[in-house]
Amino acid sequence: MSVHQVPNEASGPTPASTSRSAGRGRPRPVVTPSRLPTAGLVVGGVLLVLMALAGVLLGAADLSPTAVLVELADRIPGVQVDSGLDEVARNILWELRLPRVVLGALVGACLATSGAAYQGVFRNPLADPWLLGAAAGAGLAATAVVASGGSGALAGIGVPAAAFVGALGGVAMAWFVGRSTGGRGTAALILGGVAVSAFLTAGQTWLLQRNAETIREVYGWILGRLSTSGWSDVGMLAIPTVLSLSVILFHRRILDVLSVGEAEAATLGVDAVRSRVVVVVAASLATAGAVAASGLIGFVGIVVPHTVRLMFGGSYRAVLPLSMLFGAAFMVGTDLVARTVVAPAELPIGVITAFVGAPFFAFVLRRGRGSVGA
Amino acid sequence: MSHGLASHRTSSSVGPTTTTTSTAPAVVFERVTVDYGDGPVLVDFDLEVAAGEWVGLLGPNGAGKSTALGVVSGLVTHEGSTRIGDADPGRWRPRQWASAVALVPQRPIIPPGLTVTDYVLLGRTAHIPTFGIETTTDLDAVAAAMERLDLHDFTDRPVLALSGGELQRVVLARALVQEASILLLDEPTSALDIGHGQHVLELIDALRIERGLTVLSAMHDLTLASQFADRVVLLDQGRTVATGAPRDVLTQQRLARHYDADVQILDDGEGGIIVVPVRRDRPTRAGSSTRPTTTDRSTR
Repeated sequence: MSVHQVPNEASGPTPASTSRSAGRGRPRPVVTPSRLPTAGLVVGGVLLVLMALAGVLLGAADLSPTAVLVELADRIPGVQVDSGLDEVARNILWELRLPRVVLGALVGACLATSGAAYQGVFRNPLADPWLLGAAAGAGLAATAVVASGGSGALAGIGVPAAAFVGALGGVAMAWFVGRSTGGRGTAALILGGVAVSAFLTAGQTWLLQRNAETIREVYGWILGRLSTSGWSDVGMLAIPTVLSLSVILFHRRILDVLSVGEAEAATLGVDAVRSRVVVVVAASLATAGAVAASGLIGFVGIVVPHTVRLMFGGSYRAVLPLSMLFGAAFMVGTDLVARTVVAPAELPIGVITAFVGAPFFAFVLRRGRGSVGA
Repeated sequence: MSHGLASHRTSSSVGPTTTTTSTAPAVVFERVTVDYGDGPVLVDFDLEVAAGEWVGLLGPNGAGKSTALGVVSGLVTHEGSTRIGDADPGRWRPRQWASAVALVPQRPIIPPGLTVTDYVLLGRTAHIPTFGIETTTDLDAVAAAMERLDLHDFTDRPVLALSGGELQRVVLARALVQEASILLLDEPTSALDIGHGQHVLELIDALRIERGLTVLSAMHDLTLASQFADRVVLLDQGRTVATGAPRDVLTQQRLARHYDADVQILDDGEGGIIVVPVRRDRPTRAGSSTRPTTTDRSTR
C-alpha cells in the first residue's frame, strides 16, 4: 500500500526540525500520505483486461474464443497468425464487439469519475451525475435536438454540445434549488437534484409525445444502451473524455483540500470557488459525453467511487484515478451482462446498474447516517 | 514561500533587517468595519499586535471576535484597512494569505476519507504548486510537526476517529506546517475538558516562544485568556470596550455590564487573575447553617 517511504532521519537537521524533540526520545514519525496505491492499479487493470476480453469473446454471434484470441494476437505488431475467421466474423469482432467494449470503458470511466468529482466538490457522498440532474438535463437537451430534426446536419456536434449545456444547466438548477431551502446538509442538494430531474424528465417525455416518430429512437436511449454504431461514437466521446478526465485528475489533491469546506480551504491557500467551478464544468462535460453516447445510466457514479473508497481509502488522490479504472471495468462488465443474460435480446444497461445501484445507494445512505441529512 | 510577504521583506530589508521586522507590528487593524447586511458586527476596530505577542479577543457571544479573526485570515470583506507585517493584504491570493496567516477554526470540518498524515499535509497546500505534488521538504515539515505535538501514534489513523483533544492537536499541527508567522485561534479550548484545554494552551505558548509566532485568539474562558495572553481586547456588539493587560481590562464592573455576569476576580498570586462566576439565585449567604454538619462528617 505504501508507495512512498520517507527516510526517517530524526538526526538530520532539516529546517523544520529545530524544535526541541518533545523530550520523549521517540524517533520522528514516518509519514506516508495517501497516494495512488499500486495494488489498486493492478487490481483495476487486471479487472478491466478480463472484462474487455470477456466482452470481445462473448456475444450473440457464435465466434470461437480461440479464433478471436488468435485474431487479436494477429494485430500485435510483429505477430502474424491466421485466425481462420471469415469476413463476417471479423467484422463482428472489429466493428461491433471491440468498439462496444471501448465505448463501454469510456462511458464507465466518465460516469464513475464525474460521480467521484461531484461528491468531492459538493462534499456529498450521494452526489451522482444521475441524481444531481446532470444526466436528465443532458437527456432533455439531447432529445430536444433530436426531436427538432437536428439529428441530420447537427448529429456530430449538436447532440453532444446540447447534452453538455443541459448537464451544466441540470447541476446548476439542482444546486440552486438545494441552496434555496437553506439546508446546508447533503440531503438538500440531492432532493433538489431529484426535483430537477423529475422536472427535466417530464419535459423530455412531453417532447417525445409530440414527436412520435423519434420516440422509439430516444426511448431505448433513455434507459441506457451502448450503441453499436462502430467506431464513430468512440471517436466522438474520446475527446471530451480525455479533456474532462484530465482536468479532474489534475485536481485530485485540490479535492482533498476542498474536503474541509470552502472557508478552511481558502485559509489553506486554495481558490476554492474557482476550483469548484472548474471541476463541476469538467465533470458535467464527462457526464454529457457519456449521456450523449449511451443514454441515461444511473448509479455508476455512486457504486464505483464508494467501492473504491471501501477498498483503498477516501483520499481523492486514490479515489479519482481508481474510479476511472474500476468504472471502465464495471461498465464493460455490466454491458456484457446486459447483452448475454436474455440473449439474443438485450436488457438496457440502465436497468442493470439500477438493480445493483439502488441497494448500494441505500447502503451508502445508512453508512453516512451521521453526515447525511441535517 | 509567500510572494507578498517575502518580496516586501526583502525589498525593505536592505538596511537593518532585524530591527524593522522585530519592531514592525505583525497585524494592524485600522478602523475596520464589517457588515454582513444585518447591521455592523465589527465597528471601527483598531488594534496593533506586536510580533511575538499573544492578544486575546474577549467578549460575549456575537461580540465580533470571530469576525475579527476572519478579517485577518482573509475570509471576511471589510471597510477600513489592515496590514500584515509590512504588507497590505488587500489583493493577496489565498496562497499568500495561507503562507502568512494560519487559522485554527473553532469547529474544523472533518473530512471523512483522510488520515491524520493527509490532514496535516493539507497545511502545506500553499507551499506545493497547484497541480504539483508534495516534496520531501513538505513531508519533513509534517513529520516534525507531528513529532512536536506527540502525534507519533496517529499518523495513519482516520481523522474521523480522533477524540476532541487529539483532534485539536492535529488541527494545530496542520496550522504549524503552514509555517505562517501569525497564528489565529478561534475558541481553541471550547471543545476540550479543563485538562486538555490547559495542555493545548501551554503547547501553543511554547510554540509561540520557539518559533516567534504572533498569536491572536478568540476565547470564552476569561481565566485562561488572562493567564496566556499578553494583552486582551474586550469587545461588545462589535465595539471595543477596553484594551490592555488582562487584570486591567477584566474588572467586575465590566464583566457585569458586558457579559451580564456576576463574577469574583481573584489574584492567582503570579500576576494573573482568576475569574469565578458567582451564583445569583442562592437564597441568602446564610448557607452557614449547613456548614457545621459537613465539617462534622468529615472530621468524624
